[in-house]
Amino acid sequence: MKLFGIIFSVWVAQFLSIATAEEILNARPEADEIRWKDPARGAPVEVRIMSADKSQLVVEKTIGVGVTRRNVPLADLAGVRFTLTLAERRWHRRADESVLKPLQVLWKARSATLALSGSNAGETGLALATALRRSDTDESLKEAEAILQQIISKDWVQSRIKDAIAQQSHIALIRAVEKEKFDEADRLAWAITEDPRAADGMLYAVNYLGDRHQAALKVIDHENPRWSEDPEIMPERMRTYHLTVDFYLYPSLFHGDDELAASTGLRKAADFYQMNKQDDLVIQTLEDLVALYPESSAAKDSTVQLATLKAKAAAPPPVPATSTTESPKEEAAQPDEKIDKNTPLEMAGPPAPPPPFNIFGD
Amino acid sequence: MTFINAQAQSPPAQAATPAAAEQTASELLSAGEKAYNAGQWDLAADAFNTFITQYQGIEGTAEAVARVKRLLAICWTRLEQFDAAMPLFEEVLKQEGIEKKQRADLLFFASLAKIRSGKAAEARELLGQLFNDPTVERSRRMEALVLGGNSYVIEQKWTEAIDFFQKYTDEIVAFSSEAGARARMMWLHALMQEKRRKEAIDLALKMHQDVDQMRQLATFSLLLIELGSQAIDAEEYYEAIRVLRLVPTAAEIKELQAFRIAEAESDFTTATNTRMQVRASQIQSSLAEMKLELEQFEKIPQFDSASRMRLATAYFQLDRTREACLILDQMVRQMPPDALVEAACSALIRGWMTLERYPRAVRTADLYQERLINLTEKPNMPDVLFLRAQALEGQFLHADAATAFREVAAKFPALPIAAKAKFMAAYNVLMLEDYQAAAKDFDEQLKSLKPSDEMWPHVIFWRGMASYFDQQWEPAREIFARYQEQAKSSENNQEYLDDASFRIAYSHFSEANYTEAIKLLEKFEKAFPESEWLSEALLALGDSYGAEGLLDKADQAYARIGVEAPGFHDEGWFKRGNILKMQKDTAGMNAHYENFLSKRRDSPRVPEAIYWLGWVAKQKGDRAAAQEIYWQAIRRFGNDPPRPGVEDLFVSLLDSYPDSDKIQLEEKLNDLATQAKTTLQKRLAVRCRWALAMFYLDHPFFPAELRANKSRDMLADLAPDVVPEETSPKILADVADAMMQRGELPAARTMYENVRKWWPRAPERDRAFAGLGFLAQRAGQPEVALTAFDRFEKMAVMPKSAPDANGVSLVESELGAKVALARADLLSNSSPEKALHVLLALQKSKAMPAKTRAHALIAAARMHVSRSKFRDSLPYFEQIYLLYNRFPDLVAAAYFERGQALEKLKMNDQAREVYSELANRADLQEMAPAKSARARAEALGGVIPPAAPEGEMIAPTSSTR
Repeated sequence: MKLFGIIFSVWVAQFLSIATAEEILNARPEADEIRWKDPARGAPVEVRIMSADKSQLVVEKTIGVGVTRRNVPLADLAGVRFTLTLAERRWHRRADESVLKPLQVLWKARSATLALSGSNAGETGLALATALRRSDTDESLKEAEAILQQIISKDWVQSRIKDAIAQQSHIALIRAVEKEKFDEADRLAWAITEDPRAADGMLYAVNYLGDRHQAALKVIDHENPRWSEDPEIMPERMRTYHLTVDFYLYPSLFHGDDELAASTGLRKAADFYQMNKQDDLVIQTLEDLVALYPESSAAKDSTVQLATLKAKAAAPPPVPATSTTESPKEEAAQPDEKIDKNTPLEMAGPPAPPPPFNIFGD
Repeated sequence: MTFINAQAQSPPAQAATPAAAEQTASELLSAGEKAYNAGQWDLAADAFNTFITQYQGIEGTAEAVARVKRLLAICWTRLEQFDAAMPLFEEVLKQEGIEKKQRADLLFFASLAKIRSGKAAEARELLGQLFNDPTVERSRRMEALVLGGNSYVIEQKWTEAIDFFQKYTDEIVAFSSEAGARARMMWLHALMQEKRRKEAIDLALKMHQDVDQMRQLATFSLLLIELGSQAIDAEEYYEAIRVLRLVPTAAEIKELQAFRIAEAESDFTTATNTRMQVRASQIQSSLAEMKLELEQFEKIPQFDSASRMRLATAYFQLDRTREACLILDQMVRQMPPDALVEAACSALIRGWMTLERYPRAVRTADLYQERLINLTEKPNMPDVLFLRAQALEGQFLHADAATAFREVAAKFPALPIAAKAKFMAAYNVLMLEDYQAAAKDFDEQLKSLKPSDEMWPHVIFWRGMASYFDQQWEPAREIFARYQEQAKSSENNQEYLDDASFRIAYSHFSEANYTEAIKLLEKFEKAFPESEWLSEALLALGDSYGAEGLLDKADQAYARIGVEAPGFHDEGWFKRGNILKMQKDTAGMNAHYENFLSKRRDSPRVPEAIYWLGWVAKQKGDRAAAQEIYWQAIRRFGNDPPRPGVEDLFVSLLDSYPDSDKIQLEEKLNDLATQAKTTLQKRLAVRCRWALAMFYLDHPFFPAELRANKSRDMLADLAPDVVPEETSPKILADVADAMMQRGELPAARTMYENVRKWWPRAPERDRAFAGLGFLAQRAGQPEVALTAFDRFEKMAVMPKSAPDANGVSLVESELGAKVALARADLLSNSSPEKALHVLLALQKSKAMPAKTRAHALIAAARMHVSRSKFRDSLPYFEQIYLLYNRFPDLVAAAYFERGQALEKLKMNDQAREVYSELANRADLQEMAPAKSARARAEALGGVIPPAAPEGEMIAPTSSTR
C-alpha cells in the first residue's frame, strides 16, 4: 500500500511537470457556472471554463456525445463561478514552488474575470502570489506584485482585496529589507504586525523587527556602556531589550507548529540573552528549544552549549580577584560584535495605541 | 463523544402505501431498486416491504424475495431501524449464492446494525469475516476495520480499542488518509480515556502532521485542549505546551471545517454515483458528524481564550513569565472579550510587574477598561485598577499613582481593597514630599479604622512619618506612641515597632534633647539588636553622648556600628577620630587613621583619612612628614581605578607645599609621572599630569597671564593617554574643557561624551552636557544645544532656583549662568520672548555672579534693540551703568547703546546727555564707545559739561549782587 502511495505521488508530480496547460484545464469537470445577464436566456449553465480575456470566455460543454467549445462574450454575463476541484483546493492550500505551474495555468485562464460578480478567480490569484512570494526570486516577486495589484484594483470581494494588500505589504517589506531601506522597512514591518492573521507576513516581520531592535540595542549599549546606572537611558534601553525578546519569542508562542520559525526564534532569543550575559535566561530558553523542538537543527546545535551552561551554573562561584593593578571588569554588557556603523540609530517606533491593539505596542 | 450518529429519529415504519399496494411485482421491484439506488431508503424500504408482504411464498418469487430481503435489510439499517433489520440479516446471511460484493455489504451493514443494537461482539465477528476474506474489495475490508475499532469505542473497551488501533491504523492510513484520520481520532480518544498520556500526545503530534486531511478538526482541537489540561495537572508542562500550541483559533477551525465539509460532500457524491454504498454510508455518517460537530463547536463559548489560558498556565508553571504574559497579552488585546479574558488581566498585570515592565502593566489595565468595560460581570476590576496604580508607582509616577489609588477607593468603597487603596494614595502623596496633604489623607482614613483593622498599623505609622518628615516632632512622637501602645498588644501590628521606636528617639536627637535621646537610643539598641535602623541609631547615640560631653561613651557607641552599613560605619570612624582630635591625642589619631587605612582600604573616605594623617604631621610642625604621607598615599592609591577622593590627595599634596618649595613639588610630580609611565601605571601617570596642570593654575614662578593657557594646554595634551572608563570623570571633564578652550572641538565633544557614557552618575555629568551644548551652539546646531542644556539643568548638582513667574528656573552656579546666557542667545531668534525671560531671570538672581547679571542685562537690552523696541531697552542699559561700574567695558557699551536707542526714538536731547555723560567719564574715556559717544554728542550740539559736584564752589559768571 505504501509503495502504491509513493508511485501515485510520483505519478502526480510527473503529471504536473509534463502536463500542458490544456491538459490541466481539460482535466477539470464541467462544474463551473456562468450566469446570463438576460433572464430570458435561462438558468445558470454548468460548463468548463477554458480561458478568459477582457472580452470573452471560452467554455466547453458536453452536449450529446461530444464536447462543444463556445466563445461567450463577457458582456452577456451577469456572473461567473469556478468550481474548485479537490486538486485545485490542495494547490491553493499548499501555495509553494511545487505547485507554481498549475496555479499559473489556472490564473491565466481566470484572471480576466476578476471583476465579474461571483468570480472566485481572486482565490487562485492569491494562492499563486503566495507561491511566487515563497519562491523568493526577483522575478517571482515581481510577478506576485503584478498579480496582487490586479486583485486589488479589480476583485469584487473586499476580503480578498484585503488579503492582497497584506501580501503586497509583505513583499514590499522583503524588498525594502533587500535594498536596506530600513526606515521604510520598519514602517512596513510595524504595519504588518497590526494584522496577525497574515501568518507568513507576521513571521517575517517579527523576525526582521527582532533583528532591528537587537541592532539598536547594541548601538545603545555601545553608546552607553553603563546604561544600568543612567536613569535617562534606562527606559529606552529596557524597552528595546524587551521588544527584541518579544519579537524573537513570537513564533514559538503563536505559530508553535512552524518548527523552523519557532526554533529559529528561540535560538535567537537565547543568543540575545547571551549577548546580555544573562546565562540563566539562556539556559531557560535553550531548555525550551530542546524540549519543544528536539528535531530542529537549532536544538541539535544547542545541546552542548546547554550542558556547558548548566554545568557552569551548578558549579560554586569563583573567588573574586583583589589586585588593584587590574582594570575593573566592566559590568555593563559589552557587545561582542563590531557595531554596524550603517545601522540607522533612529528606530521607527511602534504606532501610538493602535486600534487593533497591536500586541507589541506599549 | 460519538463516532457514529446518535440515535436519530427514525422515521416510523410505514405500512404499504396505497400506491405501493396497487403496484405490480415488477413495478414494486423497479420502484424499490430505483429508490435504493437513489438513496431514498424509506421509499425503497416501502416498496421492498410491500413486495415481500404481497409476493413472499408465491411460486417463482423465492429468488426475488431473497434478493429484496437483502436490500431491505440494508434499507432498514440506513433508516436506523435496527430491530427490523437484524432478523432480516440473520436470515439473509444464511442465504447461499450471494454475490461476493453484496455479501460483503450485508456483513458490513449487519455489523453496523448489531453495533447500534448493543451487540458489538457479534458485530465484530461479522466484521472479522469480512476483513479476513482476502477476496473482498480492499475498501470494504478497510471500512470493516474502522468499524471494528469503533465498536470497541462504543463499548468503552478502551484497552481493546487501543490494541486494535495500534495493530491496524497504519494499514488504514495507507489505504485512506481520511479513514486513517478517523481511526486515529478514536485511538486518541481511547488513549486519553485510559490516561495513557504520553502515547496520546505522541499520537496527537503525529495526527497534527496530517491535519489537512482531518475532517473532525473541532473534535481534535477539543481533544488537544483536554490533553493539554491533563498534562498540566500531571505537571508535564512541556508536554502540555507541545499539544496546546497546535490548537488553532475558532475562526481557523470553522474555516477549515467548512472546507472539509465541502470536500466530504464532493466525496459523497462520487461514492453515491459510483454505487460504493459502504463508502457512501461511511461518508454520510462522517458528514453528519462533521456538520453536527461544527454546529456544536460554534456554541462553545470562550474556546480561544480557554485554549490560550491553558497554554499560558503551562508557561507560568515553567516560570516562563514573559512567555506566559505574551500569550495572555494577546488574549486581552485581540480576543473577543469574555470572562476568561477578564480573569486573565490580573495575572497578566502581575506578570508584567514581575518583569518590571510597568508601562506594559499600565497599558494592560487601560486595555481592560477599553475592551472589557461592557462585560456584565467584571469581578477582577478592583484588582486590575489597584495593580494599575501600583504599576504607576513602580515608574515613580507618584502623582498619577495617588490619583489611580483614589479612583479605586472611590469606585469600590465597600471592598477591603478600598482601605489599601486609600492608604497607598496617601503614601504616594508622601513620596511627593507633600507632607501636610499626606497627613490629612492619613487622618481622614484613620477616622474609619480601628486598631484591629488590617490597615490600621500602616496608616498610623505613616501618618507619624508624615509629621516626622515635616519635622513636626512632638506630633510625630504622639502618633508613634499611639502606634506602639497598640502594637504591643497585638502580634499583627508589630511590623513598624522598631522603626517607630527609632523615630521617637531620633526626633529627640533632632531637637537636641540629648538626655532623652540617649535614654531612648540605649533602650532601642537593647530591644532591637537586629534592626535595620541600628547603625543610624548608634551614630545618633554617639553624637548624643558627645553633645553631653560623654566622649568615652560616644567613642564606644561609634565603635559598635557594624561594617554591614559601610556609610555609617565609616562615619563612626571619623567621629572617633574627631574625639581623639578634641582630646588632642595626635598619637591616637595617627594610629586610628592608620588602622582605618588598613581595614577600610576600599572606603571612599580614604583620602579624608590621609588628610588627617597629614594634619597630624603638620600639627607636629613636620611639614615634610605631611608631604611624605601624601606621597605615600599617592603611590599606594594613585593607580587605583577611579573612585572618589583620589584626586583630592593630589590637591592636598599641592596645598602642603609652600610657594618656596613648589619647584621641588613640580619636579617630584614630573618624576612620578615619568616613573608611572615607565612602569605602566597609566592611571597614576594621568593623575600626576593632571595634578601638574592644576599646579600651573597657581604656579608662583610662572607668568600670571600665561598660567591659564599653560594649564589648559597640559590638560588638553593628556587626551591621547586617557582611557575614559579608567579615568575619573573629574579629569575627563577638565580635559574636555581644555580641549574646547583650545578649539579642538570634535575631540572635546568626544571627551564630553566619554564623561556622559562612562560616568552616568558622576557629578561631572552636568559639565559634560553643558560642554556639549556649547559645542553644538558653536556648530550652529541650536536644537542639539538646547537639548544638551536641558539635560545639564536636569543633571546639575548645584541647586536650582524655584521657577519664576515665567517658569524659568536656573542652575545657581557659574556654569549655570553661562548655560543660561547661551540658552538666551539660542532662543533670541526663534523665541525672543523666552530668551528675554531667561535673561530677566538671570539678571534677578542674586545667586548668580555679578558680571553674569550685567551680561544678562545688556543682552536683554540688545534683544529689545534688535526687535526695534528701543524704548524697552532704555532702562536695561541704564541699570548697567548705574549698578555695575566695576565692569567698565559693559558700562561704556551700555552708555553708548542707550544713546543710540534714544536717537532712534528721536530723543536727541536725551541722547546728547547720555553721550556727554559717557564722554565725561574719566575712567572710560580711552574706550572706543566713549570716543564714539563724544563724536555723537558733538554731532548733536556738543558735549554737555558735567554738572558741578555738590558743595563745590563755582566761579560766578556774572555779578548777581
